[in-house]
Amino acid sequence: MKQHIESDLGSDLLDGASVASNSGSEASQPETREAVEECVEASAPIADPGSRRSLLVRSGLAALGGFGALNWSARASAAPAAVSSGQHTLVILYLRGGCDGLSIVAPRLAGGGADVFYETQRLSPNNVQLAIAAPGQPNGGSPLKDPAGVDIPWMLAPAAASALSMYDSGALAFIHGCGSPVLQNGSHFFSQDYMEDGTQISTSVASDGRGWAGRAMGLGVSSSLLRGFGWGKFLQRTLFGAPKTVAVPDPTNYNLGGVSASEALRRLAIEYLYNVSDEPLRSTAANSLATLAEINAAGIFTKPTTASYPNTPFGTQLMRLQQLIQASADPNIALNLETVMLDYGDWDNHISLGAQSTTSGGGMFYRVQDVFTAIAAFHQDLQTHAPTANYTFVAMTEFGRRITANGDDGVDHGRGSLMWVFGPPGTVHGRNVYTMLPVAGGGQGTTPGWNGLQAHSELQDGAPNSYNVISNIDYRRVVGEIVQKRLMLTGSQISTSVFPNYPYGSAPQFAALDLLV
Amino acid sequence: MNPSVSGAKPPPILANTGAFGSELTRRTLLKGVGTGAAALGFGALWPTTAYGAIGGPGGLVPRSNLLMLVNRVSQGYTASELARATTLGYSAYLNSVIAGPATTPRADTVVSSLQPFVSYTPWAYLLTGTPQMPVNPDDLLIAVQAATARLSVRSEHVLLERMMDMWSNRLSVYGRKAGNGALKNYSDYHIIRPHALGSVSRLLTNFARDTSVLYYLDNVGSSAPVPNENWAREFLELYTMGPNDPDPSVTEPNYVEADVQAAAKAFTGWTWDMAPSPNFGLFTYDSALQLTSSAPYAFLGSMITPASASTLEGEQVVGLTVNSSQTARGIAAKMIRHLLRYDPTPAQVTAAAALYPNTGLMVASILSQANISALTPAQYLFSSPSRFAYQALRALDADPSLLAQGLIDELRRMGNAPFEWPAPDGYPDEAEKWLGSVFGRWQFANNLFTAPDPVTGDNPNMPGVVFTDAQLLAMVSPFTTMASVVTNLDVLLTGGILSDNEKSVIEAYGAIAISPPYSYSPYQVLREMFALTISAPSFQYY
Repeated sequence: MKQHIESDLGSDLLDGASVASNSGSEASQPETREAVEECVEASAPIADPGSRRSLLVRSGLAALGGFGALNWSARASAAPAAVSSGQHTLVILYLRGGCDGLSIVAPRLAGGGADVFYETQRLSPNNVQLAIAAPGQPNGGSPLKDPAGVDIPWMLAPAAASALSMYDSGALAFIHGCGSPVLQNGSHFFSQDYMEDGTQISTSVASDGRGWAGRAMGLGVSSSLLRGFGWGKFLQRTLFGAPKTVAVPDPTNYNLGGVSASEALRRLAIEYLYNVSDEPLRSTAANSLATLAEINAAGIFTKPTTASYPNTPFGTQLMRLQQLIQASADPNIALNLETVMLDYGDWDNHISLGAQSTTSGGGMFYRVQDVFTAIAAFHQDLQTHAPTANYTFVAMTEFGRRITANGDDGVDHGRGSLMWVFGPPGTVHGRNVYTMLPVAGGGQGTTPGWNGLQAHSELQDGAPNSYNVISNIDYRRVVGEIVQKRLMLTGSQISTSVFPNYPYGSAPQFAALDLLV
Repeated sequence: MNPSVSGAKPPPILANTGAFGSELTRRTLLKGVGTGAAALGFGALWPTTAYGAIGGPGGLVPRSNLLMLVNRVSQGYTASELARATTLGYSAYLNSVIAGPATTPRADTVVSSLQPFVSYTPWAYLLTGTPQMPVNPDDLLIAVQAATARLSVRSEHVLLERMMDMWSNRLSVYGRKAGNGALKNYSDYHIIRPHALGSVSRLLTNFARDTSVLYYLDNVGSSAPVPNENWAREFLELYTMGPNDPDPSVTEPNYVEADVQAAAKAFTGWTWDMAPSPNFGLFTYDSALQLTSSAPYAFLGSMITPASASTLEGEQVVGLTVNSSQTARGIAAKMIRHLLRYDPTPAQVTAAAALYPNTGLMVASILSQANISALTPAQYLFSSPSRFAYQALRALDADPSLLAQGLIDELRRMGNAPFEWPAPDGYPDEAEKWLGSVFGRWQFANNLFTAPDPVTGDNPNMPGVVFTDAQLLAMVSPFTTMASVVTNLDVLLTGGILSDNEKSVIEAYGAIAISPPYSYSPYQVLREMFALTISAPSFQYY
């Protein structure tokens, strides 16, 4: 079991090494150990009715988390080891802009040959071929097999080739034809809001303001001071309402600034400024101060990395993230990250898709290459340096792109798209591309299978001769299974709290896909 | 040895420090602090101050209607603006800011002299490679951003800058899309600014021909036989009516997919001029790109009349859209969210929409005394990071020459530099999205008030943005006690809205930090008290 280490503001002051590292002039600073210990001693009488502790006791906040938990309750309750060294970390990657799944995992004929419908539709009016070429062709995709080694009618785009070994090892699974069941107005922003919120915004169920991960994390229990973060300048809607979770633009550079000698005193002043302020700002401030302590713990960003990441912002993010996950698995570091969310934008390829090669003129190739090269390195680093680290990585986007190319050699907003899931070896039922057969009459089937892209396509409203991938796997089936098996929530909790009004698991079309072991 | 740079060698102090003579000393700042309060260590050291005990009432204090109005019509309170509002009274002040200054604002002239190229066309930008004219598009973008910051902080036409802030976000164009700096520059100055306080329909009509957005959303190459839908979709969804009525009880969508397709078709040929001429980069029509139609086609329930080789089809789409009641209601809701509250009531939307497209009348309706006085603290707006920065700099009366790349870099770090939201929906107009920036604001506060480097004289943490010890001391003078320093900071920076808890924390911090065993230098402590004031929760709301 991982021993939780005090790393809040008070304990940071107790940590001589930490203080020394923050100040080059500690010798001239007051010794505050006794004062802090006096302050945080749970059994001490409340001598000063205006003190922070008395305030928290009066207000009951100590029991409710926030600043109370930050500085008092964790020690007072002598919380046992919060989690095991196998702390699971859920990594959510959101590809914003509507990512074209057909440029990552593309259809072909099993056994060889091209999917003619795909290639016909992807030939632009300017005679630019946007489709990934069939295996064996110049810039052709890599043929994919199923767990039994049987050829399947899919290929991995050349830009994603770095992930082929992950796929072949069974650590990676793709799901095609994913999407949201509502809000078909083609809006990025409504679609993202819907997916991230997880309730039917503006329809029958009002949002409670939290995201699906926020609700899911809220159902769990943890004494960690920092349970998750959204990597970026904004907290993603998915994480709204998540306990002990904040936005962190750069975890390697998270500090208060100013004169280092006075930082601890200023942190305490800020804490006092905010601990009687109104919610939700109060909790956000508390979480930010907790993050300040946790994320700056020694030993996190010195964790080893030997894999080769692309020299890009995303590559750097994943390199740092695997260090954070290694630290979460390290019993000597007080970090237990449950959820981290990343964003990757610029997938709105209305012009010049350019997915086939470095010379095909557009940005899709480079972005896909960046993502999958980084992912492969991330996976390799964790296998090499922290084989017991426990994580699940899921990628999603708000919708796919039109199958049919437009006159700008791009593809407009579509419907069904691609999700993918991976984790350490043996945790994912990978080496497969999950799909659902459309059933006559417009219903949904439950038998995985594929009989060509045309059979899985539908006409776009208002755009004759323009086709979309059918969206017939609700993203909540994928996410629901992850929440169920990794955050250990029940099906009932998922259908009533995480995704209200979604009958998760109640019928085959709402059931988990059995992606995870 | 105390490491404070500013405390190592105090500069000459202005003479207006009241009873404490001409130098800020430790004794000065300790005056009036409770005996022994500062020497008790962390456990019990936060004393009861002149403002009461730490942990006292800490929620938002209700604010006067005039202070609220001053904040809502500007990019932040200043003492002089509040004094003007007090003199004129609520309605007269509101009318005066809608009308704007009678002459060209002095600050606008200053900014123009600093950055003449802000008004340049893309062609002029290409031709003029002077030192004042950045040739790198990103440098030009920074210059335009700095001009925005300078006008936000200094312009006497306060409501114009407030509305420019709104339109820059609600008509969002990503300035960092390759080569877009020159186009965005032109758009901001020539297309949006002239109408930001005028006719909304005129603004939107002109914006439909704005090449910065036509390029940004890929319409410049949209052509037959399969038009690119990007611009057409966002024109309807984000820039005008929105997909749904602001009143959630209205379930009928404002448009359907077929309307997007029709608009995309009508907008084929709306592109930019790439010929080397003064019109370079500006709007033109290219009939070779047009998806022609032989029969009328439906759009928003009306029929678009085919018009070969002309802009007429697109103009019909623009006209039907910008003159619709749906757009009036959509824009009214955006305006209310920007100026008044995040959750417009249906009645407020209806009232403002009835005055569309007259921006002045809409603003007067939205910011009526009745609407302002009905706001509770829970409905106060939460500053975006840029608003937070401008608000601080306005209160500090920052010189425009200070506001350049150092400030823009800080705004970028906080995720809120002008024209840098990559998606067309613009920076969020909702508090939840910005809550997470509170840590970044604390960093900004510390960076802003960092003492200048003794060798270079510059602010090492926010280059260019320098406040000397003497300037800061003058801002809080005269004072007689630590408590009065806090009072002066509160009035100077916020208009006197800090809670008792906030004031007592800042006072106690000053008392403790200046005293043994910490004994930080007086100027360091003063700077940190400034930083704590703008870090306080109350400063984040307006």
